[in-house]
Amino acid sequence: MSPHELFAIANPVAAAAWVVLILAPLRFEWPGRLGVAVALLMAMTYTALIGAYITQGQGDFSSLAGVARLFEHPGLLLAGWVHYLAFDLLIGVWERTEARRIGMSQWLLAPLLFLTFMFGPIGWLLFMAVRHVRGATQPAGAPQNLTA
Amino acid sequence: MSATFSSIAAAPARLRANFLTDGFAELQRRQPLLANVAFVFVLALIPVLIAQQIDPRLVNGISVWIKPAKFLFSLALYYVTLAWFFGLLSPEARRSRAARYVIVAPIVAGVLEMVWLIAAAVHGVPAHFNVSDPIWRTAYLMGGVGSLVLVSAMAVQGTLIARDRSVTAHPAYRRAVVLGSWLGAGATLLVAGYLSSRTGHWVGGPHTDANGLPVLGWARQGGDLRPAHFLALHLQQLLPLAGWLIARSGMARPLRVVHAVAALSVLAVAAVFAQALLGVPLFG
Repeated sequence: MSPHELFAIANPVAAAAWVVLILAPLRFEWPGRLGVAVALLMAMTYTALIGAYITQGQGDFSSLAGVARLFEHPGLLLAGWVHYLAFDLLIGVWERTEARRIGMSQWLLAPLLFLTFMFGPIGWLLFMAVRHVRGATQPAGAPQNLTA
Repeated sequence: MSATFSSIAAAPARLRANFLTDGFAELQRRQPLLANVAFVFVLALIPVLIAQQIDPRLVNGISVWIKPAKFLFSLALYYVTLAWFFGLLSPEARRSRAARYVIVAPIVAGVLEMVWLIAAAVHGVPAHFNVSDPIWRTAYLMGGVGSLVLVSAMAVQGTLIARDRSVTAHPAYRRAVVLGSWLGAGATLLVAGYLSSRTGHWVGGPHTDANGLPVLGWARQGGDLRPAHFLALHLQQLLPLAGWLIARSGMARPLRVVHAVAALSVLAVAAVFAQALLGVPLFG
């Protein structure tokens, strides 16, 4: 199987997990566990990609040019992409778990999850900001967790 | 990850009435560390099998990832077997230093073996018999030492079970477990020891695994010493299986039957070994 074919499988699988995370009613726990399972699979795929291709990579992490050289290899580029897929998904799972814990509305969570899906750290930053603002404006006695 | 497993454990009974999950739960009850490491080794097969699909590199004519896959599977089976036989031991025997050795030594040795095998696969070179440069030569040597440690664990476990005065299992089953462990260790030392004195596992025939048997990859042309190695190792499972069947059957003189089966199995190992040395494949 080529990196291009593997990409064509990995991307839809990750997207499907995000769809479930965003649309499944918040009261269910299993979407979070599904997200972790898919992230595990992505991490295993990443491991396989590194095992298969790392000795053929040119470049390194010490400069941007070095990284660009590393990503010239399609297998290693796919590894980088799968790394994103895996970890962004875990962030999404965390956001959903956190939303459940603090009683956030799914109407508020859904666009934040969507932005985390599309723009990774931006979505997460917005989630953290919303969580902070919510925490500061909750009545006393509601769950407060201003640190991770 | 533990949340996922504990939620499986908390599922309703009718969902858990599953041979695999109940079997694994019993295995964990008998020896949790070996059981859980076995589980992790089985999971580790997933990235290795994915790597096999995407990595075009070959060693001896087959994917570089076949060897890591075979070892992960057989080490997992070994740990499961060791864990299962802990069920025979009394609480005192389970707390002994020998028992700790049976648990810890094969895990440490197995993990180090896998590091070596995976490193070789990542570099696209053979692991066993690789004496091409000082690093791989040393690694191969260390791998040999690791294998000795691995095999010693079943010999120690056999001895523990033989000596334990409070074993309540059927005597024929117990004898089969002890013999399977001792003979497995002994036969493996002999076969694998001889194998390591050669430069490869073939005897005559083309030095490639490309046209070997499905899954196992054993040579179909010329002799191959691996079937004997395989049989010797799996005496640890095969004899106890026979012993269990013999015990259940209620037949007369079950101990004698176990001894006969043990003798036959050693002959089988010798036969397959001799066949290999003669340059004859197991299946043509």
